[in-house]
Amino acid sequence: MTSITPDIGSHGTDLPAGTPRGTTVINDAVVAKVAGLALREVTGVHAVGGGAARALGAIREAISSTDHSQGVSVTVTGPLVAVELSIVAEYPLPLQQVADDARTAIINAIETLVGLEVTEVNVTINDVHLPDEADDTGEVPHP
Amino acid sequence: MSGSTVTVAPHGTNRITARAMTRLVSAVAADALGVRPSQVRVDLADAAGRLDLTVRTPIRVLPRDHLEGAAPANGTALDRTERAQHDIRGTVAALTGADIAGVTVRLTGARLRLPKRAD
Repeated sequence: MTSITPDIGSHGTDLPAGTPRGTTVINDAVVAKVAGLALREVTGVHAVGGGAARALGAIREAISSTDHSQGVSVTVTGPLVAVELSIVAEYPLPLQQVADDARTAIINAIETLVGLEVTEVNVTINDVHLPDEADDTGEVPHP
Repeated sequence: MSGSTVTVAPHGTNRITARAMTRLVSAVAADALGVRPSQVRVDLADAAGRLDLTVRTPIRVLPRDHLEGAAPANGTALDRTERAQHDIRGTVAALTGADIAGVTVRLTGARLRLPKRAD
């Protein structure tokens, strides 16, 4: 599904003020990608997506085509967006704080970059990453 | 998802799955008792809407010949377990925001391990 924003014509000479000169269409995938990218800046978010999505993501990354919208699902209704998010949090950070930070980052990104209004962001913390554990992608954990 | 803890935030909900809660509790318990998180078994139960935790874990103890005096400086295994039980309750509540009804710690064994050398 896509969202359509009427594009107000800017001071057209032969058009009455306020007549649209076309429509801007923002695909849902774009909104999801913007949200996914915003999460990279959030402290305490170790990974995005559920187990299966992350396993697929690891394969995608190996062939260098990262899916930035992994773990993010958006529903756009007119100018309103609802987001469902699934993340893995870092131990030992407070989970509610991590979830709230992720929500704030997504709301800021979508409202400033896309210009749609976010009604809700439902965050699911599906796992916790322990620092002394080997990463399930097989890479060495950062010190 | 069943067994998850849901908190309502201003713009949506925060949900902590049973898997995330289990792993977090095992990490906290492992820290408190000096064992590895993978050695800790955690059961989550519902106690009239509050969270009831049961932790089954070994405890790390010093071999007898390393003990100075009758009891180790940080207390007997029972003292340490009781302190760990309080730590688990406090830390899990602080990290997850969950309303914890009770924490049961069951010691399933003892791991003999020498203290790490500080160098």
